[in-house]
Amino acid sequence: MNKLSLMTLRDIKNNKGQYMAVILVVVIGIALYNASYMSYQNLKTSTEFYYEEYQLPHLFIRLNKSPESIVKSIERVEGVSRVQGRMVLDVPMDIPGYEGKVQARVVSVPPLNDDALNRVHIEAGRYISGDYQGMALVEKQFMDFHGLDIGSAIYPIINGKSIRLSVQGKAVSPEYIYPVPSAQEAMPDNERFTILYLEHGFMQQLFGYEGMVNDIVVGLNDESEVETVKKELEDMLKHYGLISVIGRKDQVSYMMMENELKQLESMGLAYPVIFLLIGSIVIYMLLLRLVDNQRRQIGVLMALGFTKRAILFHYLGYALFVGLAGSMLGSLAGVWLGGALTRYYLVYFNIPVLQVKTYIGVIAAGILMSLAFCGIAGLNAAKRVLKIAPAEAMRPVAPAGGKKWWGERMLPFFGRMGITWRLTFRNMWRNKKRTIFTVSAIAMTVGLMISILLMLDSVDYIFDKAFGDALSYDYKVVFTRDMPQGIINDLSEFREIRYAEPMAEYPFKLKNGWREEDAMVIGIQDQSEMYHLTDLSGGRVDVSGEGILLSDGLARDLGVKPGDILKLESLYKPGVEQEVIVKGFVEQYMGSNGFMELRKLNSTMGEGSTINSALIRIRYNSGAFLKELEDMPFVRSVRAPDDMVRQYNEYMDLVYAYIGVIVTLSCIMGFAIIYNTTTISIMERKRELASLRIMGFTSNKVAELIFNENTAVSVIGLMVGMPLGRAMGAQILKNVPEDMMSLPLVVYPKTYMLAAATVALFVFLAQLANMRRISRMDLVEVMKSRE
Amino acid sequence: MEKVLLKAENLSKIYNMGEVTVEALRDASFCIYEGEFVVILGPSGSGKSTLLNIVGGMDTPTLGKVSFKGREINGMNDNELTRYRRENIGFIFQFYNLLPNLTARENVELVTDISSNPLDVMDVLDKVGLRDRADHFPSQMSGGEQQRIAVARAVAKNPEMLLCDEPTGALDNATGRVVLRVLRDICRDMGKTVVVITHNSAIADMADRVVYLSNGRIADIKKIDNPIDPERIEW
Repeated sequence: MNKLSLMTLRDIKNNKGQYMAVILVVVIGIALYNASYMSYQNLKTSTEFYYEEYQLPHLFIRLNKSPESIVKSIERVEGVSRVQGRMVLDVPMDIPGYEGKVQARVVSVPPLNDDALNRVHIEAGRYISGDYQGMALVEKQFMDFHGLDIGSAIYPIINGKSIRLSVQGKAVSPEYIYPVPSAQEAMPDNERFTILYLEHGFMQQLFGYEGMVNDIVVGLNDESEVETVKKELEDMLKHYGLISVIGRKDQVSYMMMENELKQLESMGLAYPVIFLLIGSIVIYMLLLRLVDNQRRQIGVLMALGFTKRAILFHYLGYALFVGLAGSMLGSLAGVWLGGALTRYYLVYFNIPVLQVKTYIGVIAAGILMSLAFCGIAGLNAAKRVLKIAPAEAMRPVAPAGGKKWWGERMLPFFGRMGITWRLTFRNMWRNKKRTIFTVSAIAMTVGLMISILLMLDSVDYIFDKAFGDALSYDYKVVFTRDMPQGIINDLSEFREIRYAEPMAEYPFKLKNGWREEDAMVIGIQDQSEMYHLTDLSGGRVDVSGEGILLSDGLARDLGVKPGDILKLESLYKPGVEQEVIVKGFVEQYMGSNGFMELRKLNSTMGEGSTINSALIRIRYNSGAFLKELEDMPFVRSVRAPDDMVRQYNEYMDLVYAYIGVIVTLSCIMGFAIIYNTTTISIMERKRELASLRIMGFTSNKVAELIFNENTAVSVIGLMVGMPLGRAMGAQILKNVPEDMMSLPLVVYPKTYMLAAATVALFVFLAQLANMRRISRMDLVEVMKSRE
Repeated sequence: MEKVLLKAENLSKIYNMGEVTVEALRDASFCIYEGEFVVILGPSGSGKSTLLNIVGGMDTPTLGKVSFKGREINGMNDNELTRYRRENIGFIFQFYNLLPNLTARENVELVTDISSNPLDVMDVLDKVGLRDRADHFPSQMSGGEQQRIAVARAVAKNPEMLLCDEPTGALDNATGRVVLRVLRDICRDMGKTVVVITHNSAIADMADRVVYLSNGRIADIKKIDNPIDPERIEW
């Protein structure tokens, strides 16, 4: 081996601690990058393959009960390759051994699975065949959650009657990779929502739909024709009671998957870049010190006849070594982590054909990225070799210009500090460049930590707001169909119910010129006691009177302002249209809705006083009460706001895991930075420190000099890092899909305190790790050696 | 007639240090002949190191000319100077300056790797009497041994001239004499030109010629007719 490279390796070996610390930072960055990108690639190629292989339709049509013959006419539309008429209906369902009511989405499937659109993947059992009377396929995650087996009995309530069905197979469909009922209820709930697949004819017979369908799925020859075909179908089906035609990108499961992928992709780059950036700052500082320390050695190499370029590459080698070792270890860790992360996604996403692969391209890109970051940092530090004149290198460096810094001259406060603190600040001032780099590395670490921790604050905040302040009901009862408002009086008959309030929710297409959005419009009672709306400044708003209130996000998407006229088209009762005035905006964190007074909503729909849900507040809870309520034939579900929180928390598990990982890694990185700067600072000032020891300073007192500097630098880093973290957090929150929830930027003081405590901890640990260097310093040796 | 290896004409070196200018070398002219042992003698601050640096291609004169084998080196650029040092000069320093991370043999190989006409590494280690120490790191050797390795390192690339800056400055008498003997053997047996700069006048007795330096000026150049054996030097 080339002797200079040998020197590099031995030098690194002799200073393992420092190099390991910085390699670790690179490992983290590259591991995160590989893990995110591999998961991204895995999920992307798997879902694409799944959609293709299992024939996810391009268009999804919902319409009122219509004759099956309509399928034939759609087949004739240009660009359409496949059409499948089916039934999709939501019903309540009981399963043995479970108290609550389940919301079951019943979907009809053709007798032959092989060639079907939305082909069902059978995980266990078999597809409905032969005698399909009484047979059902059930969605996998629900079966797993409840421990249902092939042959288990389930009891959907169809047209008021409980029907016994037997589970024939455990199924997964590309339409429900992410099994949620609608975009409005976008949190998976494997306990209380599921999908049943029944044979088409059997389902028609069961529901009294002979010869009729209410849902059609369409496959196209060419995906680029989605918009054209969609327009044509909308025109054609207008008179058939069309509710909606949506493309893949608006289909809930598809959309959620896309969002997830998008986030994974952006996170996959943003975090690794921050880690690599910090890693390169540490390398830069490390090499600056090395070059300064080895000035004499550089002079010797020049005298021996080495070119400056060779010496430059020698020092660059240190950085490249770190980049290469870090990225190779990081790739290994990343591949492993990526596999684990991809599999973890299966908890939320049903992808039966998941392909976990190792992408060489991703690994190579990671290694190149790491070499680029480390190389640039190394080159910048090593290039000062070029400025060294050979003869000069052999002479000891003139003492750095020591003088009072402006703080001391301008602010008497600094001048009055003890000698150790005065020395600390002068030293920081003297090494401005290093101080700035250390401060920015710490600031970035703190920023990283805060930016990710504030997600928790924001989520807490919405839960407090959305469920604490805004919704003060105990349960929301959703009915299976429209009910007369008199039902409220019936509910009030329950002894347990103290107060019940009517509510209605209907899907609409909201149109402002060319802009349109689908959203639920919620009708609540004037002066509602349980549903509080607030305007953007936090003041109470009431729905009473004409007009509609829009959530902030919806208003922005529609581009309307108060006083504008909005056109509402019912997606529930096709053909019903009405213009309403936009009355104002309300703050809404979860979901995006319009709000109207119940009576106005009823008149918009052109009907009497009907409702489809009720809010109740109870006096006391008896076990039997909920069961009794859920068992009422017209009740689809009974939910408490807490259920949402619980459900949400389940969904957030992945996010929590991510937050945990990033915070842990930031701590490691913070430690690496402080450890390295401490080591550098001790090595640089060896003589100064040894002189102090010889003059009679205790090693603790000497350590104080070094540690004061760390403390000062960390405090400044913390002060810069806090607002930086807030700003970074704002950027991250922008990536959260808004139709699901809008996270406000909230940082609680406890988060700042946690960040400060963490910094304090790693400063302390780094100092502890370096204490030995000071207490074991060989004074004689240090003083004897020539600089 | 002896052949001129290096010729210095009217060398001056002026350092600008803020408000003060220091004239380290003033109008120095001399020649160094092939195969001779030259001692440049002068007290500290007399400009010895400056002179050595200029002659060795580590520094450039403010005024004057240096030519090596008839080729001027004062006008050379960085790369040319590097090549000049690599091919023609072997440096030996007061503090040995071995690379601490490399063994004795590796320290020598460091230079043989980059030179075009190197000597055999083990032969050279033999010459300085340290063949058996080849695999030791500098920290495992005494000062005298380290200096002999440094000599081996300078010789191994087979340069025309060795430039030694106070080679015995950090050594005691006995080990210093061993190093001087090695240097003289290299001069006599291998025909290399050796230039030793020192403030130690005792060493001058072993030289073929002595250049006296004082306050940056050449005070005298004296030819020694019967150089004594290094073993007989006392200081």
